[in-house]
Amino acid sequence: MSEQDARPRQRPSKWVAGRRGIAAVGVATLATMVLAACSSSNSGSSGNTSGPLKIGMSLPLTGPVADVSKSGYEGYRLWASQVNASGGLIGRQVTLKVLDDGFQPAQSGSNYTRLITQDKVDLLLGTFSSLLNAPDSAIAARQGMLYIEPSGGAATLFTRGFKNLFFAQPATTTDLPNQFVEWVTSLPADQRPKTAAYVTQDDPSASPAVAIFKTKLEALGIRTVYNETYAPEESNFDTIAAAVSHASPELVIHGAVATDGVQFVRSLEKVSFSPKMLFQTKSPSDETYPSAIGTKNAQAVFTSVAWSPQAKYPGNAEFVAAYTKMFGHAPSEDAANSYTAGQVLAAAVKAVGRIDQKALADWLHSHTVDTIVGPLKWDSTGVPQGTMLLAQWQNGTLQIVAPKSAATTQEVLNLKPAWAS
Amino acid sequence: MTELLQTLIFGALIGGVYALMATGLTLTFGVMKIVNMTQGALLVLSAYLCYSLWVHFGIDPILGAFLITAPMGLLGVALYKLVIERVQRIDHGLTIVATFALAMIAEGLIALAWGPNTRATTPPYFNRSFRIGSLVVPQAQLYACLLAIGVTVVLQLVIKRSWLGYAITAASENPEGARLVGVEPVRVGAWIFAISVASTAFGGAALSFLFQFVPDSQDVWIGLTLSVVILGGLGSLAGAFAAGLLLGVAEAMTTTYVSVRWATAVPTLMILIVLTIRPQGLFTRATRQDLAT
Amino acid sequence: MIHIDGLWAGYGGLDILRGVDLKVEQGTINCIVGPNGAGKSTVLKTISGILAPRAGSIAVDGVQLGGEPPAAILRAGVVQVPQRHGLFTKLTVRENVLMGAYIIRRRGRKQMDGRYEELAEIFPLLAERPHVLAGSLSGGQRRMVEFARAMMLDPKIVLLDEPTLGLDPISLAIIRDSILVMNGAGTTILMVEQNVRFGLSLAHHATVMSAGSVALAGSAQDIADNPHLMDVFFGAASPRTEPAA
Repeated sequence: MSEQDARPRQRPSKWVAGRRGIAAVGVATLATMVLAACSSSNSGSSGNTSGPLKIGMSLPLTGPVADVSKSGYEGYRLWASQVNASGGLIGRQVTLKVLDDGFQPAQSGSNYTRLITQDKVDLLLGTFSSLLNAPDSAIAARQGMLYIEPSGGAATLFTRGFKNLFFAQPATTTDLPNQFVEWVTSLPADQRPKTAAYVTQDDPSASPAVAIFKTKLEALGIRTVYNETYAPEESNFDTIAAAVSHASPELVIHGAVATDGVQFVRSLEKVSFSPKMLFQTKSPSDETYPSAIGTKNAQAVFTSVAWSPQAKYPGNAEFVAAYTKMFGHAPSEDAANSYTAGQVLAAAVKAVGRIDQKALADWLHSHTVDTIVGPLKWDSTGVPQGTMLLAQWQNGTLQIVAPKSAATTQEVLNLKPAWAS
Repeated sequence: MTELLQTLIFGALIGGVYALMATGLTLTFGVMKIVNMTQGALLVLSAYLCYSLWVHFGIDPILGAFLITAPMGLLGVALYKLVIERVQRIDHGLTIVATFALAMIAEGLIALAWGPNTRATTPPYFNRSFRIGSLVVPQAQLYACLLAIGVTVVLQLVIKRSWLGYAITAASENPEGARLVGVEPVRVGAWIFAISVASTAFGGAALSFLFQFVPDSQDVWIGLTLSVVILGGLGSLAGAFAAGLLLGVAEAMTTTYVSVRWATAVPTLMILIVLTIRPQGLFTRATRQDLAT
Repeated sequence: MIHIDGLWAGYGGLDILRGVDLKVEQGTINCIVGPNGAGKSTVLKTISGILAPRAGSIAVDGVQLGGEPPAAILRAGVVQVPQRHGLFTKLTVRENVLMGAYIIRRRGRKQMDGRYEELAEIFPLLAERPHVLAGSLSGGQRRMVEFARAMMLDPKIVLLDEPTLGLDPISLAIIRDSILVMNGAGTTILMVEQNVRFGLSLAHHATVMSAGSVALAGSAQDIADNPHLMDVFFGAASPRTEPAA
C-alpha cells in the first residue's frame, strides 16, 4: 500500500483511489491493534504457546541473607527438576530465570520489572523476606502477573488489595501466636505461668506477633512484668537479660529475627536466669541453634514453624528424601517454603490448563492446594487460612506438638530445665 | 542498688570489649590521621581465622589470637605498602575511600572462603559467669577486658619506651625533623600498620566467642570503633580505653534506666555531646603549640 | 673538608641554587650570610640530604654525598640542626637527645646513656630537666637540646640553620658559648646566620650569598671589613655578581 493512498489529502481525481486507501488504512489499523493485543505480555496470554515455560525470580543470592536464600533457591531447583522429570507443566518443560538482588529492594524491583517486560517470562515466583516481597508483589500486581511468595509473612503485605498475591505458608505472622496461646489455655489454671516478659526486635516479622502474644496472654490473666523493644543493630543483650532476670517472669516470649535469638539466650545463660517457659520466633528452627547455645540448653524451648520435616502431609517425606539426595544435606524451612510455592503454582497451571494470569489467580482464590505444609487455601487478599505449627525441642529433636493433625509427638514439656553449664 | 552495680559491671565489661576492638585504630587514626575503614573487616577476618583454628584444631580462640598476630602484622605491612602509602601521596583524604573499597572486597573474599552462614566459637567460658554475691560477671566479657588491658599496656609500652615508639611519635609530629635524625617516615608507617592490624587479632578472637558473626558483621564495628577513638582523643591509647569504658557504661545505663530502644544510639549521641563541649576529645591534653623559635 | 662544586638545586620547577661553589676547612667555624631568598638554608638542606641536587657535587672528606638519603649522610658524620621544628615536642628532653643517636641505636642503651651523661656536662639542661616535655621549653632551651642531640653521634660536621632565630640577647650568649664548645671538641661548624654581626664575629671563614650563588667569600674579618658587603644585602650591583633578582 503506498503512502500516497494512505493520506486523504488528495486531489479529487485521486480521491477514488483514496477511498480504497482509507479502507486499506482501516484494515492496517485493525491488524496492528490485533497484533498488539496478541503480543502484549501484560494481560493473560503469553505470546508463545510452545517451547519451555520461563519462570522468573529475583533472589538475594549475595548479601546479608545469602545463607537463607541459598537453600531457598535449592528448593525451587528441586521442584523444577521434579516437574520436568514428570513431563513438565501443561506439557512444557520449566526453566528458571534467576537474577540476584543482593537483598536490595530497589534492585529486586528492577529485576522483576526486567523479567516481566524484557525477558517476557511466562510466570513469576516470589523471593525472600517481607522487605523484598513488598515492592516486588506491587510490581507484579501492576503488570497483572500472578505472584506466589514463599517467605515474607508480615501482615502489612496483604492489606493493599492485591488480587494476584498468594503466600505459600500456612499462615502469616498474625497467626503465629495462636497455637502456643491455645496450648497455654488448655493447661489447668494452676499450671499456667503467672507472669510473662516480652522482648522483641523492632521488625515487622517479629514485633506485631509479640504484641498479639501480649494481648492474648494478658486476657488469660498472665501479668506482664517486662515489655521492651530493641533496635535491629542491638548486639549486646546482657543488660536486657539482667533486667528480665530482675523481673523474674515465669514465661519469656522473644521476637527474634536472626542472630539476636541466640545472643539473647546466651545472655540469659550468663546471668543464670532460666525461665520456666521460653518461646522464641525464628531462631530455634535453625539446625545450628543447639550448638550455638549449648546442646542441652535447647530442651523445651518453643517456637513456631511453617513446616516440619516430620510432618506427615502427603509428599513431605518424599520431598525431604529427594532434597537430601540432590544436595547432600537436609532441607531447611526456607527450602520447603520455596518448594511449596512451586507446588501451588503447578497446581494452578495444571488445573487451568493454560498460562492466563488472571484465571490462575481466580482458581487459587477458589480452591485448596495440597502441599508439603498441608492443605492451603487463601482469602481474597492472599492470606492463607491455615495455622502455623507449634514446635518444641525435645531431647535434641525439634518436634511438632500442635496442631494434632501435624503433631509428631503427643508429649509437651511444661517445664524448661535450668541452663546446663 | 544491686541492679545499679550489675548494670555498671555489664557496662564496664562491654566497654572493655569496645576498647579492645578499637585499639589498632587509635594508632592509625590518632598517629597518622588515617581513617582506616578496614578495621571492621580486619576484626571479622581475625574472628574467622580464630574460628577455623577452633573448629579444625580445637585451639581456644584466645590462644588462636596469639598465633595469628604475626600473619596479621604482615597483612598490615602489605596494606600500608600496597595501598595506603600510595594513596596518601596523591591525597590524604582518599585513604577513607580506598580503605572503604578494600573493606568491601574483604567482605566478598571472606564470604567466598568461609561461606555466608553464621559462625561462633564456643569455648567453655562462652556462657558462664563468675558470681560475686548476687552479682554476675560473665566470663567471656571479663577475658575480653583482660585482653583489652593487656594489649593497651603492651602498645603503650612500645610507644613510650621503645626506639620504635620514639620514632613513631617523632615522625607523626614532625616528618622532616625525623628524617634529619635518620628516621624514614615510610618505614615508620609500615610498622604502625603492622602493629595496628596485628592488634585486631585479639579483638577478632573476642568477637568470635562473644557474638555470632557473618561476613558483613564488619558494618557494626567500624562505626563503634571510630566513636571510641574520637571520644578518647586522637592518639591517646589510655584515652581510647577510657572512652570505651564510658561508652559501654552509658549504653548499659541507658538500656536499664532510660529505654532499651535508645541503647544503640548512645555512641552517636555521646560523640555529639563530647565534641561540642571538648573537641579535642575527653582525654587529650591540649599541648603548648610548637612556636617558631 | 666539605667541597661543593657548581651546585644547582631547587623545589618544584624553581631553581634556588644556581651554581654554588663552597669550601669548608676542617675544624673551622664557617658562616653563610646573605639577604632573604639567597638560598642559604637550601645549601644546608642539600648537604643534609633533605633535598637532592639537580647538578653539581657535594663531597665530604672526598666522599660524594650529593643525592644520598639523610640516614646515609648521618652515617658519614654530618648532622643538621634545622631552622625550626627541629625538636619533637611530644618527647622529653632526654628522649629528644637520644633520638640523635637513632641510627646507631642498636649499639645498646648503656652506650647511649654514657654519651648522654657526657653531653649533660656541656649542656647542663640535660641533667637538670631530662624528663620535661620538649614542647614546654623556651626558645633558648630548645636550641640547647637540639645542639646536644646533634652531638650524640659525635659528628665531624654540624650544620646550623639560623641558630639565633627568635632568641633574646641572653640566650644569644649561651648559643655562642655552645657553638664554641662544639668547635672546641673538634667539630667543624657550617652555619647560616641572618644576624650578620653575630655570625661574622664567631666564624673563622664567611661566605656571602645572593640570588642563588656566592657573591663574596673569605675570612670572616675580611668580609666584615668589605665595603661592598652591604651592597649585596641592599640589592646594588657588586663586583662579582649579576644584578640581584
